[in-house]
Amino acid sequence: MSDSAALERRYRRLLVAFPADHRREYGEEMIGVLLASTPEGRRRPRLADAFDLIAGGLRARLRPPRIGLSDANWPDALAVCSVAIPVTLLAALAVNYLWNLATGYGLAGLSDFYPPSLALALPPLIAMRYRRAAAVVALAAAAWFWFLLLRPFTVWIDGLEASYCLALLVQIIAVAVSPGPRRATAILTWKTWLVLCAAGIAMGLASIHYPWALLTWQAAGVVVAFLAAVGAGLVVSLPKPVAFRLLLLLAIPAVPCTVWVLQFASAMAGNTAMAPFPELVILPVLLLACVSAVAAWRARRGRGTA
Amino acid sequence: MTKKAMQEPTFLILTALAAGPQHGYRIMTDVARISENRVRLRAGTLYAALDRLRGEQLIDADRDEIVDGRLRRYYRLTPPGAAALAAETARMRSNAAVATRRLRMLGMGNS
Repeated sequence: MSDSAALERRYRRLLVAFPADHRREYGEEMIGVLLASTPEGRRRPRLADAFDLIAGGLRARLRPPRIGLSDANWPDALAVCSVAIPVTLLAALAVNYLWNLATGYGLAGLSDFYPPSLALALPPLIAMRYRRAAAVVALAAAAWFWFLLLRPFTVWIDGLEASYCLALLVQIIAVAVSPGPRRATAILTWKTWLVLCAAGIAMGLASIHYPWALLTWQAAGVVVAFLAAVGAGLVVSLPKPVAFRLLLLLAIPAVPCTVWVLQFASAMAGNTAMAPFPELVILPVLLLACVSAVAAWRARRGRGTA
Repeated sequence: MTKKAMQEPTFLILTALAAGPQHGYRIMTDVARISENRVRLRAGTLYAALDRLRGEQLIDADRDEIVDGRLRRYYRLTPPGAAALAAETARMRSNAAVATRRLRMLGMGNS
């Protein structure tokens, strides 16, 4: 093996210290720079270079992701979110409907779900790029879930309905301010579609079988495993900056359902009484309203100064 | 709140790119030349800095070239990068002016 080939092989080994996405972006360039800056005839990297690569790689791995309100990855994350939420809802509601049809309950047992069936219209509307119509449909469906939450005979606030309501509100914001579904489909990979559909089907099956009528720790395990699987699936299948921002957006609707499942399990075990927890819905809605207002203000200011 | 001062390698990389788009190895050699060999960036440090500066939108990739079978990517200063460099230069100039005045009072400054 020639000197330069041996040197390159050793540099490549050292580059493993860097995260995979850093290597994909800069690996080949770095090899070129390293070889150009090493005196001819060397077969081994200089100690200072080796130390610099290992230290630089560790710093890159330990550096927290930069997530700011104004960074350029948010539009991509919102575009993906505008497609991810309706696809997941479609899968979840479809499982619910099919189950009721197959078991003979028919659609009569799903009267509460007739209006939110509007949400089923979201994917085709988004696919046809009727963004305004999709936002109006999502608003109508969210309003119905909000009505279900606050109707007078509701004993407790249902976390599943709260999550549907919040998901649709996030969806409206994503549809309104993102670059749109064309951008989303350019980012989404087949693995992401698979993760979203699997997450929707799992949510649909969970709402049929009530697996949370388990012990609290079992329910917590199921919830943690589900969230970890969806999170890992999105991080692996999407560019990391987009995936982390998407997870932050999806965390808003995930919170009420997660807390509700755990509280339900705890109540079934007789540990606590099921208590209403309107703050789980009202606080995220207020947060969403504040973030939307800030985003709208920044967009208006941006247009004003352009 | 006052803005944090720019680190010297960052200042030197932006200064190197103020002359026009440059690839990684040229940035390394230019930084050494500008700093009179006081700051010698190595590849790990340089590319960590370039990645951070791209994230902050102070620099961007300009074009790619293949030379001797190796990828060579050129980086350029963005308008926000030029503004940040101008602001840092003004801050350093202002600090230097104060230091010079006070040194003169001690009789140590250049006349």
